[in-house]
Amino acid sequence: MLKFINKVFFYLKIIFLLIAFSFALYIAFMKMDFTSSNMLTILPVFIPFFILLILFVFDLFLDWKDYNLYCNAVSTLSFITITIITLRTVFDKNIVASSSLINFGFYDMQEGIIKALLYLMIIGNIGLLIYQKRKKVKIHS
Amino acid sequence: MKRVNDEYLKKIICVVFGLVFVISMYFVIINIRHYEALSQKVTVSDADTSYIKFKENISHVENKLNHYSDSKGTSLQRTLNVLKNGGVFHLLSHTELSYYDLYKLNDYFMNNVINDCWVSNLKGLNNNKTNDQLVNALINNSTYLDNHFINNSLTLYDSYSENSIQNDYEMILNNYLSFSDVLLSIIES
Repeated sequence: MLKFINKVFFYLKIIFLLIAFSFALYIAFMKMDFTSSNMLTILPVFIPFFILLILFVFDLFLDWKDYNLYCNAVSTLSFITITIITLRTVFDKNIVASSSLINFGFYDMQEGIIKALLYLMIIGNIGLLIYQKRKKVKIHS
Repeated sequence: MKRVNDEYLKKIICVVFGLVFVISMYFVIINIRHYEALSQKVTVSDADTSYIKFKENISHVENKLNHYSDSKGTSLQRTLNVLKNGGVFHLLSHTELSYYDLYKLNDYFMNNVINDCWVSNLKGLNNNKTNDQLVNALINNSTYLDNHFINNSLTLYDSYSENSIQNDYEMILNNYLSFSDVLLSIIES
């Protein structure tokens, strides 16, 4: 039962990562268009999501799915948080903006936290990969 | 560099994910609270005296406009159309108004009623200094409300109280009512 729940959380975190990534990129493109800035402004949004996506795809192909249930559940929760923030920025009509469709101030206020969550998860997932690799080396030796 | 012991590595991973959990939970909770605060609605009552008076003023203006056929009449008619057709009556005929509806009403008041009607049409027709002062006060109210709505959208940590939306609605309705009083006084002068 726990293995099944773990698998569900493992795939849910990837799904929510993709949703959060697409909405965050959409907001970044809209902001780039609104402020007439160049494509380089999107990089700080793109990089942490991309690194996490690579790490999770790495896990999928290297069959290291026996992740800790705690780590999978927490990662899912953090991507749900980022999804809630990005969905509210784009779709919540009550977050009003005077000169554009999206209130970029609302997203900017929480962008720091989103980045902190993403970079903490990168650190956590890299640590987890190292730990799992050492565990496998110990089992085989 | 000394290799980090497996046990320490496991603890570091637990602490990192623990931090992620705490931060995520906190932001989920405050976003939910903020969403609930902004989702409040205000009930529009047909028995609301300001709303009744506003509708009466508009119908008085409509009756009196029949006596004007010159350029003054055209300007006054344009103003009346803006007051009636901008969705104001449509919005005010709903039984409930959301935060977004109030923002739209105030935005319409600032951009269409004040900027188009007063500045372009009515200011030249006005001889009464009191009307000028009243409209200036309405501009200040409207600007305050605009900043207030945008600040509430951005403020996650202070809750938007139940009385606030009612006060904002009354302020917007009084702005429209006061402007209709100004329009009526210009017609009657």
